[in-house]
Amino acid sequence: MMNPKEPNTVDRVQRIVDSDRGFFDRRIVFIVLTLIWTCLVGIGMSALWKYQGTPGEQTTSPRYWPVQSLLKHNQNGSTLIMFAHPHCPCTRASIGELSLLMTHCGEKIDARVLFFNSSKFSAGWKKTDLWYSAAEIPGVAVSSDQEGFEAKTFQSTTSGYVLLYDANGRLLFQGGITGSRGHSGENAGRSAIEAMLMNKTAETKQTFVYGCLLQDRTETSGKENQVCPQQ
Amino acid sequence: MSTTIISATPPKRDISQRADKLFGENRKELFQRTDRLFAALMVIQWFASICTAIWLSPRTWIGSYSETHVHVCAAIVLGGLITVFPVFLAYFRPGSTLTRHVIAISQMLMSSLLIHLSGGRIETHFHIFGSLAFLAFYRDWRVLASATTVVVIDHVAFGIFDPQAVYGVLTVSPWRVFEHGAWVVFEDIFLIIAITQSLREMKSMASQRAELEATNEHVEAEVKSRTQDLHSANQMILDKNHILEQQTEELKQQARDLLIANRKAEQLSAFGHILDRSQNEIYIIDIGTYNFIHVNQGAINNIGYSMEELRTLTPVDIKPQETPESFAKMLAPLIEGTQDHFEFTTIHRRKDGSEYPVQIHLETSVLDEKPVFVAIVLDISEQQRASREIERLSRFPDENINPVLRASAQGILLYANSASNILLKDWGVQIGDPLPGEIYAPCQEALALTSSVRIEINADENFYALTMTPINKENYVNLYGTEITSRKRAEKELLHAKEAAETANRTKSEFLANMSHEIRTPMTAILGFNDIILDNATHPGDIDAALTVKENGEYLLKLINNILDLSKIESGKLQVEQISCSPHALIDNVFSLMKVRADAKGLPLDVRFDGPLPEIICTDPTRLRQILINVLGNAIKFTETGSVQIVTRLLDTQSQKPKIQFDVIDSGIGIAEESIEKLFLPFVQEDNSVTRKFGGTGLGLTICNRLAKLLGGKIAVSSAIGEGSTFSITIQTGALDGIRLLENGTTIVTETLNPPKIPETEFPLQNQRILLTEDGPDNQRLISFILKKAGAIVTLADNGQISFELATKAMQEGVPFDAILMDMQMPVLDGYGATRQLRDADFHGPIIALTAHAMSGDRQKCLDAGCDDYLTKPVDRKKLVEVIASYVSHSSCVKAADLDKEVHEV
Repeated sequence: MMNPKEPNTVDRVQRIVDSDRGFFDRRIVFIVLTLIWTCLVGIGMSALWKYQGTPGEQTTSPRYWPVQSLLKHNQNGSTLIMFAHPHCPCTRASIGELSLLMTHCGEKIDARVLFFNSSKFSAGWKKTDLWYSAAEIPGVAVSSDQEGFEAKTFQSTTSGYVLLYDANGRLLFQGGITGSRGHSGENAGRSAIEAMLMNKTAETKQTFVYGCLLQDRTETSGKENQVCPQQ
Repeated sequence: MSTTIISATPPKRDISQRADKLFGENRKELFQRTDRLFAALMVIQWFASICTAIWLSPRTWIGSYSETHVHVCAAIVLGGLITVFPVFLAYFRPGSTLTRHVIAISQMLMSSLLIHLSGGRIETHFHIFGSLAFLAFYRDWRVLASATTVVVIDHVAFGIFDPQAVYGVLTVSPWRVFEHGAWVVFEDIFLIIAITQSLREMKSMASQRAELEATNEHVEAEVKSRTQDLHSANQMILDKNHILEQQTEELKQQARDLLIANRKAEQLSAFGHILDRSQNEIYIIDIGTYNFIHVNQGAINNIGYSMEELRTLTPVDIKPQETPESFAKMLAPLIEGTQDHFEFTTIHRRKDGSEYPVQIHLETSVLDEKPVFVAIVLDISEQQRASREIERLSRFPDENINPVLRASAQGILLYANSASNILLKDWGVQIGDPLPGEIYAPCQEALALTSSVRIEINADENFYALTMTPINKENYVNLYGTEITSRKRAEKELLHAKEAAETANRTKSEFLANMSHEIRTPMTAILGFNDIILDNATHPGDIDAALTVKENGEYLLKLINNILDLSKIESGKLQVEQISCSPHALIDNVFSLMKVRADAKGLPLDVRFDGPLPEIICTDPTRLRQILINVLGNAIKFTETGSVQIVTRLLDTQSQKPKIQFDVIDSGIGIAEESIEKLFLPFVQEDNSVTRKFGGTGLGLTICNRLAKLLGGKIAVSSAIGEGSTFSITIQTGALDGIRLLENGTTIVTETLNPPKIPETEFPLQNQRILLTEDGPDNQRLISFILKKAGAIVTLADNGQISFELATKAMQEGVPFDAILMDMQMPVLDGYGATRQLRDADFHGPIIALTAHAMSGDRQKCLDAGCDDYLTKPVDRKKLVEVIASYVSHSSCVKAADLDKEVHEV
């Protein structure tokens, strides 16, 4: 039991704050405290910024449409494949960018979104808001990628990873279509795809991908945080 | 009242200083209030950022595995770091410059955090503009500068290191940076303008308030001065009012005192008037002359003198025993003051000379400032008369020759009159002692029951009846005694007499029974042997002589039977049975018996049923048959011509006690009306001539009438001399519920009333082994003769013991007797004991009792002992043989049937 005559923590702090005498002048104390606080906040914000700008594993997808894939590319036009994790919060921005992309040049591509699915979970596990958001985009076909078979076939390890193949099955673009982790807005990936579809010169053919891993850690161990290729 | 205009105004310099002070206070208060506002807002934002992170990005996934998202950790840790320090300052340093600048910086950092957590949504950018607007609440443009600086640093840093995250493009142009910053500055400009205007208004309001305060202070001082003047004037008025109220109160008190004095005077006047009109005598006497000064109306009325006459008299004149000297001596203590009053009893003499006792209370008093004697005189004539009456009444119990006592509820003797001395001496108690337990217990019982309890006690060879009467209201008991010694002695004598009478009655009954036995036994031999003589006589003279002996013997037996019946009826020992029987069969039987006699006289005997009769009635058929035979026999006896008729009917069928009536109607000599009453008296006939002509004992109708009453009915007679008589016999039938009514039942004759069918042979007892147990040698010879004549083989036994031995021996030899005739009165072992022993020894053959006792209870007694049937002495030869034959023939039939059965089985 606390003795009611003994001052509690708040009272002690208040006494220090209100005291005219002390080891330091109280104004200096508060300025020092403010500086310390500023540094700590700066460190925290820097760490957050760093996380935001760290991409997923950079892989090299097949240059031609892999024959072992169960999917067939569109022989009359370009085929866009996005690999997504149904529960990845960062992919929400990628779906939004895909929606913009389909708005600008949807008639020129055959877009497909493959959502990772695992037999460990129930049938409804994959039907998240991302699934429905993607399905609602006109011209986009949504399907599940059981145990990440297609992702492995196309060397995709990060949710939001996009591949663009032409009518002959030749790889045109690989990478993400967001500027940072879960950040919407103009970005190099979407700009490059749009340029290719408009028969313009694209500034890059490969971009970083920001999102959750599509495969378990043992399969991707040591492949993250690689040096970003020349964009 | 003069009016003073307040014209003095405070100096402007003071107002300006006051306005500055108020402005400063208002700003400080505004800063503190806004600090608290932002402290709350930042805590809310922190929790909102956590919720946003949990909602939008709760977990990060690695294939099929997941873990907590970095955003959630950042919202908790970094959001908490951003929030805690400004909240701390707002709590401990509200209103300080550092606090609001830290709040401005942290608010912008929180905007940045939310933008990152929401994935850079454009909507969250509005948080920056909203935060700037909120910071404008401080009305300090420097706070906006701090916040804007944070935004600028954030954009510049990101623009350099990660332009795509801020501007959405890979390379940012200066114009893009300017565009982002311009929006913030644009808002800052408008907010600063608003802050400047607001500060100006605050300063103006402070100046106005300072002026108002100064004016108020001046007015309050003036009002205070005026109020002080008014208060002084008011106090003076209150003082004067107080003096006036005191004077008024004194006047009121004087008025109240006067009113009380007036009421007292009125009460005294009324009291004097009441005393003056009182019937008690009040005398006021001059203390010097002893003359009456004043007397009231009660004294005048009682003493008979007028007021004028009394004023000339002294108390000595109305007291015959007093002299002036003795009176003066009596009054001396009052005059000397040694006593203030005294009381005494004396005699007063009226004017008319009559005297009456009085009780006087005499004391000194003052009248018109003069000392006087006041005598209050009470006439005690009635009181003395009542005392004498009470004393007389109190002597009443003592004058009682019977004991009168009173005891408390606790059993203490409170009072006893002189007549109770015998009781008190016997009990050994005196007044005040507790009563003996046997007396106290009924006293308690009487108190509990609240009713009198009577007991009888014995005291010193005297008997008393004590009645305990409770007086519950006073909680005591009065005991009233009555001497009952003579009555007790009479009761004792009566008891002795009753015992003697009962002994005599028992002796009489035993005598009659013995007489019956003693007469019947020789009569058996006489009539039996007479029958033998009659059977063998051939000479007419011998036959007449034998017939005479027979008729006289039968008459003697009938007389004995009637005497026995009457004796039993009168002693109340005759008991009738209640068994079911058929009235039709009974009438048929009686008709058959009496028809022979009627035919002998040439009289027609008719039976008629008036309406249906019950199939079964409950009565004593033997006694009913006896009544009908007797009455019908009288009718035939006293009728020479004409006819005799029996009419039977059912009466009172709907009542609880239905009856059956038999009218025996004859056309005989008739009975005189005055003789009808004598008919039912014993040993009385209509007249002696009748007895001489028709014979009879004179007991028949007496017995029939008594029997009819025992059967719940009566016999009524209607007759006329020379025309005939009608005897109506009425008996109860018992309950008839469920019993059929038959219109004409003369043909219905039950088998039980049929005589036993006996083989009509010359020797009905041929070769039957019969053990005759009889102690009388005459009867042994007679009965043996009769049985042997019927073909039986007779063995004799002189008493029950021999009979038992012979019978058991025969059983052991395998040739048991076919029947045993058992006399019931025998020496050594009587018939009852012998029969019981035989039955115990498994003798199953017929045992027929033979007794001279003709009492009705004897039959049942024999049957209870184990006999099969019962025959009375003197022996009827025919009946004896028939009864034995009926049993042995039945036994023979059973034996034959058993033999046939055995043969058949073989």
